[in-house]
Amino acid sequence: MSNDIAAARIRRAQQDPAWVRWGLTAFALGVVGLLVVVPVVNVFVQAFAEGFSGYWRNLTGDPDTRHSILLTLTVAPIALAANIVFGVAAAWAVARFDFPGRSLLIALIDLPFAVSPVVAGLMFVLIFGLQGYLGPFLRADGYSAMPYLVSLVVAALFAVPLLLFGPARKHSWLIALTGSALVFAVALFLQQYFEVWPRNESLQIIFATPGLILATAFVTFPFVARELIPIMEAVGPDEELAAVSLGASGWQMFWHVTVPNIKWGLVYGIILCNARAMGEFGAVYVVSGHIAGETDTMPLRIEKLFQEYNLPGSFAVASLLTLLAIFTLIAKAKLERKAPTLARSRAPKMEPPNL
Amino acid sequence: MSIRIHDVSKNFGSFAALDRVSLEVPDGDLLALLGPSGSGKTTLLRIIAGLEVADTGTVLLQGQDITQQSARERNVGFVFQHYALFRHMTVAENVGYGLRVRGTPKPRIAARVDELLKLVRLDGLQGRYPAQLSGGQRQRVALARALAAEPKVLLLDEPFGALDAKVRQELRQWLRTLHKELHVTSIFVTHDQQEAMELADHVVVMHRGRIEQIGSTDEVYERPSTPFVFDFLGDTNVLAAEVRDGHVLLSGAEKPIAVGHTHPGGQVDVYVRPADLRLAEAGGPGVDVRVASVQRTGPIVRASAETVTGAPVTIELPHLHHDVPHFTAGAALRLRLMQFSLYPRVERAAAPATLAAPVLIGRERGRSS
Repeated sequence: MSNDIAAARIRRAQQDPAWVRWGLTAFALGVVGLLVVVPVVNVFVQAFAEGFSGYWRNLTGDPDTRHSILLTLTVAPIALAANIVFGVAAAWAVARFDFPGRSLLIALIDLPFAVSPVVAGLMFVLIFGLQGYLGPFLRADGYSAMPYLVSLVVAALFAVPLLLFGPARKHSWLIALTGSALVFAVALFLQQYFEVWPRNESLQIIFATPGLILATAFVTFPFVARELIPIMEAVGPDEELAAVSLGASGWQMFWHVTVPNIKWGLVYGIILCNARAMGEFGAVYVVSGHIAGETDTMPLRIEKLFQEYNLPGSFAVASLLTLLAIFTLIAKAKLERKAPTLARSRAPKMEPPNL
Repeated sequence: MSIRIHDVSKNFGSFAALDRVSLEVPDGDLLALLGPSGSGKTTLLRIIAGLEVADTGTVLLQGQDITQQSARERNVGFVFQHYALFRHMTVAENVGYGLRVRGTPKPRIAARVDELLKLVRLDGLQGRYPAQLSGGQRQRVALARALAAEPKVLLLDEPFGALDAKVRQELRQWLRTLHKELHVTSIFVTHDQQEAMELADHVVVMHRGRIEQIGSTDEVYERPSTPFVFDFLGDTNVLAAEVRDGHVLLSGAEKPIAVGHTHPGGQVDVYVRPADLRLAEAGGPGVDVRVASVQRTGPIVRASAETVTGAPVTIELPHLHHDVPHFTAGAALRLRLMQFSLYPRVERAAAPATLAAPVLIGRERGRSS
């Protein structure tokens, strides 16, 4: 009897009272249910309010809705590709090199997280818009810049891999420089000769797909780099150095050692980046101009349908983005378990040393 | 000469990791770079491997200047301190990597991998991943991987640093026999003087980015050229002494511990190992001490004592030695220095130890040793 009382006293001393435990749990579940589960379920309920055929009609019947889905599927992958290249390069630079401005770079990578998306959109309008800095030039003869830009990209694509992954020679930078200058000249000449780009025509960036891509890329800019920097720092440069000392070229080292080591982090970053790119509203809203069937992405289309009191149509498109979110959540949970941890790969296993 | 390093310097910011280091390593040698952390030994190893670039100086490998070559072109086997095994590759893929990047056909890679795994006694573990291996096994995989492409030299960075004492001991013996079999010029870095002594043919003692002494294991132990080397290679007692007319007089003693030496005279430090102290014969020369405590650690009996001038002295005796019964707490004894080194007195921390050149080494073989 006295034992029971003592046990109860210990329990009371060690645990919070029952009403606190149950109360907190119920509160947390209630909030999640009310603010998360019910609205998400409601999206699907509303989307399927007219049955499955109605849902399908809402998604595919309206040419503007169809175009918005297509546009999102165009803009997001391009922004994603740009951010993968940038993310890997930035993570490599930050994790492997010590250079002046390194901490500034780390801070700037996070800038798009800190800036309101609307402000981000406005920045692009101020640069590329009609009243912006580059507006008059773009309107008069915008395409005249394209040959130079394209040639520059082609020359960089030639020089960077050569410098990074080519055989190390005494004057390799000189070879890369003259080589890329040659490539630049040839690319420029070819474009001028075949008149690839129209003359004296306005190059639309704001209120057009390029602006959407720029805004989306800017807003989703940190995801891949943010994900990769800690992984690359944790893995360390030793394995890469080992590959090089075993005779691997930079290219081989990158694909055989670096990529497998950052693989899951990269996939994780890509999934998060993609979810944000497809769902981006604020920045895209500012630069798009809401031209139905031309510059409306899925989130913009949802808003427009909603404003037009076309609730089933609006929720049908919304259900697609919700599905994307649910898929992202599942993939995130799975990948977090798969991401390589240092502890697992370095700690010696409890096993008798087999000498 | 397999490796010739000439006048190599390396600075990290304002820190001089290597200060005009020159070194020659004969073919087939097993050489230890020994020194405390920050002495530049790992930096030197990485410069030989091409993983670090020297600020000045040249590195020659088998007569060929490789200073301008990248790590990739040097064909040098490097075993990293934490092995740096490719964690997503199996043991076989790890070992065969050096051949794979050279475009060796697959059957030949497989044959070579099997041969190497037999050599390092890991046959049958081809399909395992590094995470599934013990520390000692990983070490040997790293070694097999470095040897796969038949490197001109093998470089090992603290090869046993991450292993526990017993495995370390066994691997040392094994590496020694392996080196005899393969006869590939090898350099390893260590901060453990015992490891260097046990494994190496030659030892390079490094300190503050400079080489203090190069020599065979016997040479550096028996004739340490600087107080730093003496101190780093084992336990040390330092006794103040004076040289007068070729007589070495410990301060406070009336009889010289050595006569007929050509030392110019003046204040000196006598360096003597705890194991080189024995009881002096009655009336013989030596240092008078009072025993403070006696402690037995396994087969060694260690006594702490103090000289008449107050300098601490440690004595180590084999536990069955006939001097042992005399060592009791409070006993006043006279100790004979069976072997010692003399260095000119240097104010500690004021001047770098490298300034002290070896002047004289007293040596006497006792009956009881």
